Amino acid sequence: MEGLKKKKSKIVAFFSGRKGKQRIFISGMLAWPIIHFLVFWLYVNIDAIFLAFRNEARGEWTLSNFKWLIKMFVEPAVILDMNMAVRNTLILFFWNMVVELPIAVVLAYVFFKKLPGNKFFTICLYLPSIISTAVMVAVYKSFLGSEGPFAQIFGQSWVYPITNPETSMLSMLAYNLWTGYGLNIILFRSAMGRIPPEIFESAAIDGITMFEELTKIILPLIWPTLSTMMLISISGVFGASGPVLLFVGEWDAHDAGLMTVGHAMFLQYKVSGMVERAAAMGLFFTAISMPLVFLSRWLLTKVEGEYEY
Amino acid sequence: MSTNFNEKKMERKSRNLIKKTPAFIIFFATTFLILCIHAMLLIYPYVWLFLNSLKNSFEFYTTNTMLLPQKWLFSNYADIFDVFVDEKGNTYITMLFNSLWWTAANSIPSMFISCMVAYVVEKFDFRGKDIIWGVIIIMMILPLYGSGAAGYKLTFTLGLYDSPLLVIRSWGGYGGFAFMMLSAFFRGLPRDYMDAAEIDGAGYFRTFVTIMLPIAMGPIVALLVKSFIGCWNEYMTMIIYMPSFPTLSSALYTFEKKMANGANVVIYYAGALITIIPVLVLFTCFQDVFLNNVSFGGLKG
Repeated sequence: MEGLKKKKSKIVAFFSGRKGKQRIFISGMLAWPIIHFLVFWLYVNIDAIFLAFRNEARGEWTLSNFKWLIKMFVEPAVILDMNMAVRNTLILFFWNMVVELPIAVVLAYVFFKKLPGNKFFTICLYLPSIISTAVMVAVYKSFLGSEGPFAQIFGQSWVYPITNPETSMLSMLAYNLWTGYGLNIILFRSAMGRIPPEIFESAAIDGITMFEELTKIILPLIWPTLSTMMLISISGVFGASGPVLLFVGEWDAHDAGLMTVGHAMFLQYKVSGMVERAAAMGLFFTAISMPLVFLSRWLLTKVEGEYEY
Repeated sequence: MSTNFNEKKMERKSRNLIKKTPAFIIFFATTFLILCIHAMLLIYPYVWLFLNSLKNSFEFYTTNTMLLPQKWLFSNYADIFDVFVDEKGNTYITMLFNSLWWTAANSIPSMFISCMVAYVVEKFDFRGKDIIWGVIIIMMILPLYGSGAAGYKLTFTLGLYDSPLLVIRSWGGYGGFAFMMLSAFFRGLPRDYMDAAEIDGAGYFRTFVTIMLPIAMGPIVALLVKSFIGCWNEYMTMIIYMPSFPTLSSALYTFEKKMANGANVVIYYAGALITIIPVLVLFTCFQDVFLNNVSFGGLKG
């Protein structure tokens, strides 16, 4: 009884006074986000690991989900070829890293240097980020379709590129190039805007060229933003799925040569109802990309200089 | 005001001090040309879609896909309400309503919760703060791909599948672009505001709601606009988790299968164009707030 009373008074003391009020405030503000995190992130990710080793219908632990996954690599099924899924996913990832990000940096630079019409171009390039992907893809498909301008220009020789396995990936990459870097330009442009003008003044006195200004001043100074964007891309390497579902629907991705890892997982848990197989795929690709992410983070931090401005 | 103007003018000048060599001019001219073509490629398809949305299907398929409509059928836009009806009886009005409530119920609470977490984590010292930061950084960089399947299963367990309550899934407030931007903002805000409010007798929550949130209104509005647009355009959530609550965006996927090559294709185009009007209006109204308030720092934590 005495111990209980002591405990109670300790709790009362903990939450009273200025410090106590602050504790109540902090606890109140963080209570829901912590519950949310525990349920929708921690539990979900732990359950994903368990699911990968489960057969829920039989209620047993098994490695069959991984055996199935290996089979999809070795003997691809009619509707799922994991080699194709990985290849396409990596193509989309490298396209983003090697083409879209550098273009965004260069465009942000020319806008920063006040290219005529820069505000108009910024808004134009940002439009795909505010218009629904469903609409963008609908427009893109209609434009490339049998009634679109390309079919009118090329006539009978025009082959709809989205469902043709030889051109489908190219059309997906072209779509990404058409739509993909509006927000990045704004972010890079904003990072460049924070560089003190004195740096540019002294560099100009030293007779710096445009290329040197971009590579020796701007890139190092916007590196925190750039490396963050790169790291986010790398950490989502196997999630770089592209709008496959909107391009070809649920089941035609394989025939069209557009299967990606993300779409393959979607097919398993949503369309086939094989949640465990999707979880096994998730765990497998997490295990592959985890070291990659930490290595990249280490490398990106190494490159980063200690610039204060 | 004039000092500010002069400062901006000086800043603009200092950016363009490097010598304009021929290579510089050629590079800028080429970039300008490429951007003009790209802008045309972004705008023209919508003009094409708009013009075709005003034709009848026969005209579209047989004689005229590239030119102006022979007869401008604005009635196609009224036909949307008859044609866009799914198997579950959801009409275009229902889809519009779903888009509206989903957007509001998703973005406003999650933005408020993001502000709460960012403010507390940045402005108060407490036990576990480093753990919270560590978790947030890990969440952002850990490549976890299996959560889609487990999350899908969880929605059934919690009874959230095909229910409007699924919206609580987005009320996390930690991690992500909004949190990073808000925490960077609160980090740069002097503690003086809090101290002054405390001297005036305001409680912690009152200080947060009546002083800190109004100060942070710039980034909040920018992020809210971005979040509104993102939620309005959301289609995968409806396809995967809420099939009975189609929004305008998810309905386009459903109706594309039925209508893209059929007699109602022109009405499908009209429906697609109507979907983008609210986001275009929103972006036009808030473009300056948005373009001037979006920034992203490093991931050092």
